[in-house]
Amino acid sequence: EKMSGELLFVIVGKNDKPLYELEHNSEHREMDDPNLVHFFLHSSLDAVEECAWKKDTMYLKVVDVFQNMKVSAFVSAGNVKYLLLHSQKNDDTIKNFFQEVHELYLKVLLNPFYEHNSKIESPIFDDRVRNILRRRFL
Amino acid sequence: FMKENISSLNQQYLNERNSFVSYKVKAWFGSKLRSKNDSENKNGVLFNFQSMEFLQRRLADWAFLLCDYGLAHRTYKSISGMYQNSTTWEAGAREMLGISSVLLELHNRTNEDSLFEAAHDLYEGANFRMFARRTLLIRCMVLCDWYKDFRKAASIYASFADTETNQQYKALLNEQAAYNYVLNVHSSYRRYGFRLVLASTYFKETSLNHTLRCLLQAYPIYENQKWSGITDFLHFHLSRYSYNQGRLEDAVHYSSKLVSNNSSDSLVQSSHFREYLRISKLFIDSNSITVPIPNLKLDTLKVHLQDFYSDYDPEWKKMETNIHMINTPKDRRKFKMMILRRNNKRQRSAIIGEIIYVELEVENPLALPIQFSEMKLYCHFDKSEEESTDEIPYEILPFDTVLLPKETKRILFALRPLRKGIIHIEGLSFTLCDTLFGKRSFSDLGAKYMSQLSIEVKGSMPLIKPRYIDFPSTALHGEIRKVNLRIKNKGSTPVSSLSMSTNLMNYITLEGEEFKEILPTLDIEAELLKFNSKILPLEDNLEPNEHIDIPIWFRACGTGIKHLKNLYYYLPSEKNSDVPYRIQRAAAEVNVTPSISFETSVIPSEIKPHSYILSILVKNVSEHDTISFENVRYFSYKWVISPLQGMSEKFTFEPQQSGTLFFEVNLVEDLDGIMVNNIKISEEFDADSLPILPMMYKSRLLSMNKYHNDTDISEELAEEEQYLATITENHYLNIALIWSCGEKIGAHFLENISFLPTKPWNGSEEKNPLSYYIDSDQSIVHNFEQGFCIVPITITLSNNSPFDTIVLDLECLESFDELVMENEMYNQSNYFWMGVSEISNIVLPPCNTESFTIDMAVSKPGLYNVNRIKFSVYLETARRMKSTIF
Repeated sequence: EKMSGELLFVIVGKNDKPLYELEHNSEHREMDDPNLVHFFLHSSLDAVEECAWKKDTMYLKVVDVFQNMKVSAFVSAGNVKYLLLHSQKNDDTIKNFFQEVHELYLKVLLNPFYEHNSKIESPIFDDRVRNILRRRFL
Repeated sequence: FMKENISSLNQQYLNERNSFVSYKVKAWFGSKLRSKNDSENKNGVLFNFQSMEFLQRRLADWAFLLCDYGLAHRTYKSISGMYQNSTTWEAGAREMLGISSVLLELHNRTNEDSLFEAAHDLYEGANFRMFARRTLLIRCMVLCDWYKDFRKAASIYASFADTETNQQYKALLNEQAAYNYVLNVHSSYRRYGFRLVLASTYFKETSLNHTLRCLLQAYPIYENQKWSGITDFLHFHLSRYSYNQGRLEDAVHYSSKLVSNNSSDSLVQSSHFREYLRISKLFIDSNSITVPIPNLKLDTLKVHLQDFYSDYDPEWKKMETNIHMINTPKDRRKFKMMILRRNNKRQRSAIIGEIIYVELEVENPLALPIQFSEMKLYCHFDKSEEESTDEIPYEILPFDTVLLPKETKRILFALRPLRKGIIHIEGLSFTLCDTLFGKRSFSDLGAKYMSQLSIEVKGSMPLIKPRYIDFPSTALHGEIRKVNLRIKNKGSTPVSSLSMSTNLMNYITLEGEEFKEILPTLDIEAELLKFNSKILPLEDNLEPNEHIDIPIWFRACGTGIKHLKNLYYYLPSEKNSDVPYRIQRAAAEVNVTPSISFETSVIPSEIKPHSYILSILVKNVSEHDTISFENVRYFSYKWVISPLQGMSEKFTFEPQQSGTLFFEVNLVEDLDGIMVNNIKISEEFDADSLPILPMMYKSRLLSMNKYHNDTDISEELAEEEQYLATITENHYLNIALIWSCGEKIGAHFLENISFLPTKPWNGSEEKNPLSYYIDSDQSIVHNFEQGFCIVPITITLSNNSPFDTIVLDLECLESFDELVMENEMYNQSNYFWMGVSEISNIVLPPCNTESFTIDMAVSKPGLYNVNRIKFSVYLETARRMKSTIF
């Protein structure tokens, strides 16, 4: 089942540092101020930390809701958080998306030239994530 | 009065209750309980002033007012069930019930919370927004202050903030939610930040002050987080609101942060940048301010002075040590070295009038081009005590540049000191887009790097600029060329003395360099120092803007890319206590390509005694150079060489061709001293002008030094070798083969070709250097029916030299000669060797004897000559040294 509407995906590393950001369809933002989605996404990290202690799975499903926007989260074994802001609910699609991106991130980690907890600037990684996003959601 | 009223109300209530049955019957049958005078409105029922419901409510309220919370609580509880038809009355009752329960400290938190919630819902349903808000506030206040449940209070505030329609109230609720989030035991500071930002967006409709306040409180949460959408938003709004509130300093601060770290697209960045320029211009009209761009890559900062630090390059450091040593008397050298080591960490110094260069990489972090005008260093100058003038201390050369979007550029800044003192380079100053005069400071460097930005300026000194004229960029291996070393004085005072140190001493030969026939084996380092570092001839002081040309012979000694480094040490004509001497570096590079390879072998002559045949296998290994041999020059003690074949025609080798040159080497006993000779192959060729012998001497000196380092020669052995070198015959031959290739000339050295001395060593008995003795049974009787007769032959070798080790190869040759016997009873026949018949590399130490047994097999009776042993003998030292030279 495909999802439309706005999508904002962020990989967050240590100390809330964003390692990767991807926006899709931001012109259809439905919040009062379009820039507030980033703040909401950032604030959902509190909910992610609360949920992560309660659940034993990596995929935490929807952790926070604000107006009509939801944040789904995935926490890796290395405590790297994957956050997806979306308006429609589709757990299976989102879970698969997270898993695929997580595999890509692991490959980035295996690169000896990649400095841990630094921004991922590889254009190949960016292309692949966009492809996964397109394939899963659009 | 109130107590009287309460008691009368109570009485009235009890009287009403006395008609309990009628009351209950009415209620049972569903009749309305309200009195006839009660009326209705859209919010439910309005009770008459005299009605029981009203009375009870009055009773409860008055009891509450007089702090009789128990009576109030009971009364509210009883009436809350009565007000089912009136939502507002019921809401009020429930609300007061909850409050009284709290004040009574019943600690029935769940019940109280549900009462407040119910009251709020009833008010909302009846569209009494004001009362609903009040109830909400009381509910949350109870949760916070009584039960310290900030988390629940925060979530309640947040949820109602999201549904509230009034902007100001929305903002207040968000703000309260934020504070409760952070007051929680496990504070949710991110939610706190988010709610404050939300509050700020709703406050801006009514009050910019509160908007700004909320954003400022939220800012520390997001500072340095580098969330692209967040930091740009915050910086922009903080800057904008600060400006609107008249807080220019804050506006500039946040605007500069927005510019320095901006992840928006180029259009947005452009508008941010323009706003930054406008605000900053208003803030500071004429003075400069610290601007956020360009980014300075301070780890690329380098200061270039005319004095060179040798710390980080061991080769330059070694040369500097050498040059100090030759310029210091021998007895003071150790002290001088100690002073130099101590002064290694001295502050760097510049000279008046000489430009200081500062190299730095700068980066434009924005996605738009930025123009920088009048970009230059800004400095602080401390004048020296001697100086009294107030003239300008330094001169700086500004320039204009444009940094393209995201460009990183390496920039070289120039600064010329004009007075003595200390210059502290503090940063860059420039005009940004012809609008804003700003600066960037180097103070972020830290103490380790800041020290290199403090430069002491000392008095006038000479400054030499050395360079080679006609120095080759490529050369054939062995090529010799005359080049000129031009030294020009670009300083303001004359040069009185000049020395040069080089890292490749065998590449450079000055006119008049000495040549010694005998190599010193002791104190080779001191001998090498004379060639590594030398004082250059200066007839007179070298005045400013004058130059001298020093002719130098260059010889390419090894193949590959060679970096020739020269270090110059010079003194001013007038003594300068600040700078007693100066050091200057120069380097040149040459690519040396292969030309010729040699292999030599020496065999004793079979015709003449005390004579050898020297064969030199020559191969032209160059790619496309034809090489012709022009001259052979050699020196030796008692040996002369002459060509075996006619050398009237030139020996010319095309690329990849090879051939062999043969020479006869003879002993001349009557000669005293070293003999230097020439064999001219080409009559027209003039080899006399070439400094072959000094070049060869240096080459042999380096080989000796390497040999001593490799074999770890002890001082005692070196002394013995030195003694030998002075008193015994020199049984070595050193040859230089001089060739030409077109216009080029070159020479290759064959050094230390050794021959066994054929004369006794001084002071020893009349013995040959190597003596041997062959022993076997003279007469053997053998029954040949049992097989061959095996005769063991014992060969005894003796090294008679007291100090030379001999290496020899032993070979048993085939038998073939016939002995003429008078008695032909014994017939000649052959024999053969059994087992090992060749032994190589037999090492005989001095004064040692060794024996070998070799078996001879004979097949029939006869007389046999067993003198069929061949020895090839070498001196061990010469063999090893030869292998390291070429």
